[in-house]
Amino acid sequence: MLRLPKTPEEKRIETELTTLGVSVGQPYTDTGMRRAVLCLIRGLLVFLSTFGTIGGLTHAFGLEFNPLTIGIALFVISVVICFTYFNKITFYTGYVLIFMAFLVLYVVAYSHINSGFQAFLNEVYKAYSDFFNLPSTRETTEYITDRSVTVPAAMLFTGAGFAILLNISISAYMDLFSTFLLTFLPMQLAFYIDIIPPMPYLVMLITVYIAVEILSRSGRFRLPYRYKKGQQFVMMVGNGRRFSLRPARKTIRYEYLASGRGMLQEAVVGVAASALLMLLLSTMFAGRFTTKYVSNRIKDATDGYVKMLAQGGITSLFNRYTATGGISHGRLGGISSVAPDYETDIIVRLIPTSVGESGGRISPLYLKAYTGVYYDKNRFYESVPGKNEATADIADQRYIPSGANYMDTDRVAYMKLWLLNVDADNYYDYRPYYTLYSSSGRGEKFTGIGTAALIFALTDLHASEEADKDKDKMAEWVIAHKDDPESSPSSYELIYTPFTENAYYEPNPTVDDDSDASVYEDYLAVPKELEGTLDIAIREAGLDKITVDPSDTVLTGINPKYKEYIVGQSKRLLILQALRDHFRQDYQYSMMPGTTPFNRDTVDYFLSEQKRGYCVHFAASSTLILRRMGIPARYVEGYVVNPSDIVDGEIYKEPASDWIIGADGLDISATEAVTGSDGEEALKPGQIAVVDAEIPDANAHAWTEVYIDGYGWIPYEFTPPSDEEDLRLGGFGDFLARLFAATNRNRGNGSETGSEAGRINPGTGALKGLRNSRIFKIFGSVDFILLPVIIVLGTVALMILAIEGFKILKWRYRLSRLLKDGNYNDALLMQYLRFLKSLRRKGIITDPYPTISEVSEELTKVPGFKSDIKNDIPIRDSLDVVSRAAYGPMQITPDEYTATLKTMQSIIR
Amino acid sequence: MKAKYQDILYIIIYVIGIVLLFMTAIFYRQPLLSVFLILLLILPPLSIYGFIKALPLLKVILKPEYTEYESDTEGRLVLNVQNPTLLPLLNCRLFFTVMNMYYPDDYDRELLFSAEAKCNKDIYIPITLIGAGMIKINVQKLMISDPLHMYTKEIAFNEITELPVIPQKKELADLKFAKAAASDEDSVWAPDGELTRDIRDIREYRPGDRLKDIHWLLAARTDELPVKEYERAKELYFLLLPELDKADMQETLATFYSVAVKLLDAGEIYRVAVYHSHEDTVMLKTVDCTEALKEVMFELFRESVGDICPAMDRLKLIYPDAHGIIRIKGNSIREDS
Repeated sequence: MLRLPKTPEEKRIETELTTLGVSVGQPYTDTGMRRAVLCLIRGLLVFLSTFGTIGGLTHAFGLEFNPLTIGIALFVISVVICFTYFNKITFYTGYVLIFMAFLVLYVVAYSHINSGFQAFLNEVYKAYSDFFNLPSTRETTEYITDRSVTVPAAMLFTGAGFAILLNISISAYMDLFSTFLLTFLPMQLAFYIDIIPPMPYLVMLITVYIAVEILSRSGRFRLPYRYKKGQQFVMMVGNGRRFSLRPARKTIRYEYLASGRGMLQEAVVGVAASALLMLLLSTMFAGRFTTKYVSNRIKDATDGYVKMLAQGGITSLFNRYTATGGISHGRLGGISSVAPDYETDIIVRLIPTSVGESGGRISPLYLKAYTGVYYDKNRFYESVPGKNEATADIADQRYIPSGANYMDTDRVAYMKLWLLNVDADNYYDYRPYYTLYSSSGRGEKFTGIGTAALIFALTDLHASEEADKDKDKMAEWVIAHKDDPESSPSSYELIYTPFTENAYYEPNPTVDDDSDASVYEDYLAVPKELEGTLDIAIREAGLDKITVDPSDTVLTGINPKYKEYIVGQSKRLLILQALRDHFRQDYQYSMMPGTTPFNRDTVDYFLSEQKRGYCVHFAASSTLILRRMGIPARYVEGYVVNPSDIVDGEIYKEPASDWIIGADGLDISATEAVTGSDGEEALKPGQIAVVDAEIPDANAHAWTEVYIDGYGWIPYEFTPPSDEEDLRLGGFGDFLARLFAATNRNRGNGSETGSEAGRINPGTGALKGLRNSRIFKIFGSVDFILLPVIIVLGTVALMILAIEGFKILKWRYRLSRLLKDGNYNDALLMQYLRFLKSLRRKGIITDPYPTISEVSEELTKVPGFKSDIKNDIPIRDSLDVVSRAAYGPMQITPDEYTATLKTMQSIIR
Repeated sequence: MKAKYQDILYIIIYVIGIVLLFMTAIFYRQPLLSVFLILLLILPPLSIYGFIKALPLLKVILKPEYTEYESDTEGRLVLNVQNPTLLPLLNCRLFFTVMNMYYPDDYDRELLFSAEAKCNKDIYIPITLIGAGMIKINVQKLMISDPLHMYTKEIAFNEITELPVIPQKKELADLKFAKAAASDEDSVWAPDGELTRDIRDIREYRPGDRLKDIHWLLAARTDELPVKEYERAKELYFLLLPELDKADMQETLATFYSVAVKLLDAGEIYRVAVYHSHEDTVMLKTVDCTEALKEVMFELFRESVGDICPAMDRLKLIYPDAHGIIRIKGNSIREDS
């Protein structure tokens, strides 16, 4: 005969019978829960969370729908989906069927669903654009414009998707965290920009959270589809005390799977609690939560990403190549945000003069490294394809301050700059020059370097012989290292000439007509496909309408033979200013502009849609716009030495003659000892202070150089100042330091300095955030949470106190009524019950319903209490009185009542 | 996991949740986060307060459905749960053990159940009873946690309910035993010695005494039950000696029970020698009715059983002259000559 192998259950019973003589089976109850009811209740929870999310969001963004029909439809969908957990068959076929239905629905109603979804997205984009004041709004196409059809279609479709996910988190796991994430994250779309959906939707969500939390912690919600019909308990056999020295005892656990009644009760509790809470909060604290905005770095960083998302979609968040600050070698648009590491790239030692200063503004010192000549597909190359590398070299000749450039020995001192390359790209030199206040934004025409160049171009000065001597001297200082990039030293010295107010009349002997010709050949190239966009940008900025009124220039009265030249070059300068102003007005500076979409050109996308970006975007776009207008321009990358970097640097005392040439006419070095404020001798005669400025990778920058005929290249700053916060993401210590550092939200009041970091928050070292920490301000502003919390908790505490107080009052009232009526028996019993309660509280008795003799028995066991309690007359009498009050037919006397009460009180004491 | 460790874990998770929410609420300043925070803060006190109020009113009773069972049958234990309050208590754990006193092992059993609001329900625990003996049901403790599982109250019971399982009767052939070897009416040798009708003493009633030995006349006058103790008992008895050892304990019990019932059915009064392992002695019990037989059975059930049963030796030691003892072991019934 064939013998079937024993099932685990049979084996267990056999073991139990042989070892215990009795076997305990699976428990069960009469009040069995119906699987269908359970599915229905879970369906209810799934529906509440789905409708709360979908309905709430749709309502929040002002799209209209009929809540009743959508609600009923979503309820049906939720319940149907929850019935997949009914049994094995529904489970294994259910998801397939639902997926197929989903697919069919999608195919059939594709355009409706899609259009409804796009309608929703458009509303979201609009709301975000309004909230963040973005320069452009993303828009998607709705193929079907009738929103009364498309919106419900999209709601039902998305709702079904949500219900499937929530079914897993609720029906299968009853997990609050995933349920919370699934519902709360989408709701962030509205909450993030302070839109609050109507109350009923919030009540639905909170109901689900409460019910799910309590049910998951009780565990009585499971009824897996794989369990047998009617199975109510699951049995688990384990070995207890695994880590004990004692032999392990076998443990058997019977777990009650699901309580439909309990689930329904918890759902009701959830509805009641959430409705009450929302009512309380909305009436008491309406409008309180969104007041008193204190910006902080986390919120600002998130804002940055949100803006990126709202403008460029999800792909804009991801970098196409790594970038951690430093120069980007002409590559554009592939990174979503600038994330410098704030490590020092370059150390510069120089004389901290007030050079470059004009009208109280200090111009930063630029260290130029990379020159972008030819633009194609998101990149500025250093040379024109097909031409030899000489293009860049010729170009470099124009600006290298080789001692001949900017030279005027009569008035200008030549200074030495020592540079140590710590972590910057050492393929490049970092050549210093000042831009003066070309981006000062003072609105004055014809000031700064441009004017200086113009004036120079019209003057007929030549370098004197004296200057030639100095040139020789300088040659000794300059370390030639350009020949072999591999062996380029990490530190070298350069001679440069700081501008002064009088430096307008600089000679520029290296520029001649020949070089003009090659400049016009190489630096006007624009990709064909960008011409349209550039033309539109030119029109938008009004650059095509700029004309020059010669009477408006400072150059009136100059030789008429130069008239044409003046007008031409002046117009060039006016265009620069107009373009800069246009960028300031209609574009936004952002270190987190988002990655350019894959198939788009960065400049094209930036000018036509994005209109948010950092220096690279502005420099590249301005370069191409100027080229399109026939002005030779080139894209430049390098570092910026901010005045703040110099202020923060370490000071050394050095012989003045080592650092300045031609200082005769200048009173720079100290001629007598200078005494510092602390009494210490600061500088001896003949000494000069030099400063080590540490230039972090965040100081990397891109700017534009514009060609002035007959003069050469002048640097020009098109990047507008920032209205953003400093979103630095450094090490963990930095992160913590910044966590509590509040930032200012002063739009349009950024610094004038050029670098990315300086642009945002001049003078912030990594730890300055901590120094300026406004931790107290942040926490001082939490009253928006604390006050409601305190009031609500206080109300709850008061309610509990009131209930207890009411009980005591009720007890006293009953007692007084009994005493008034002469019912001393009942009155004494009331007192006796209270007496028992205090005994129980003191741990003297444990039995909830002890007999009178048991009480006296227990009292004798209390150490230190009267040992001979049975012979203690008052206690014996009292217990006797209590017995009579409880069982006797006669009323006890008032005296007996009082005496017994006294005894009980003395016992308690 | 123990309920209290679970409490701590849940509290930690809860606190982490509050802290995260608080930080998020500060940094993102969102109204709904503040609402959640308030919710998280007020739920625990409400949960524990309601729990403390509801707990004293909860009633949980575990008892067998019937007071006794026959072996090789199935029965059930009934757990009655009453929660008259409005607060559902879904986290209830009952710790109990179920074992036959003959067998050394017992398992820790834990029953997780729910006491919904306003419920009065029974949970049935089926049991299969294979052998005879005394089933000991020990309800050790009840652990109940509040709805949020943050505070667990442990109520210790240590209540033991005994559930006797009587062996099933066997079909026996006609029993032909001598009651005892007797030479004449007034002088017989019996295990208890020579028998006479002289009253030696009057003492208090002890369980196992025959009703006819009670001094009813005296009993009527006093409040007590005096029993006449004879110099030597007059009647002769069968003396049954069940010899229980581990090997064939269940057969012995079944045979003994069958013999005992058969004798009772025949209207016989007899004595049973019960070996008390703890004192290592043998006590004689008189059986004259079913109740008395059950008393004897229960006494047997409560004794532990070794590999060898020394009952016969002890009996001989106490009553050296005893003879005619009916020894029952396994399926065999034999008379000791």
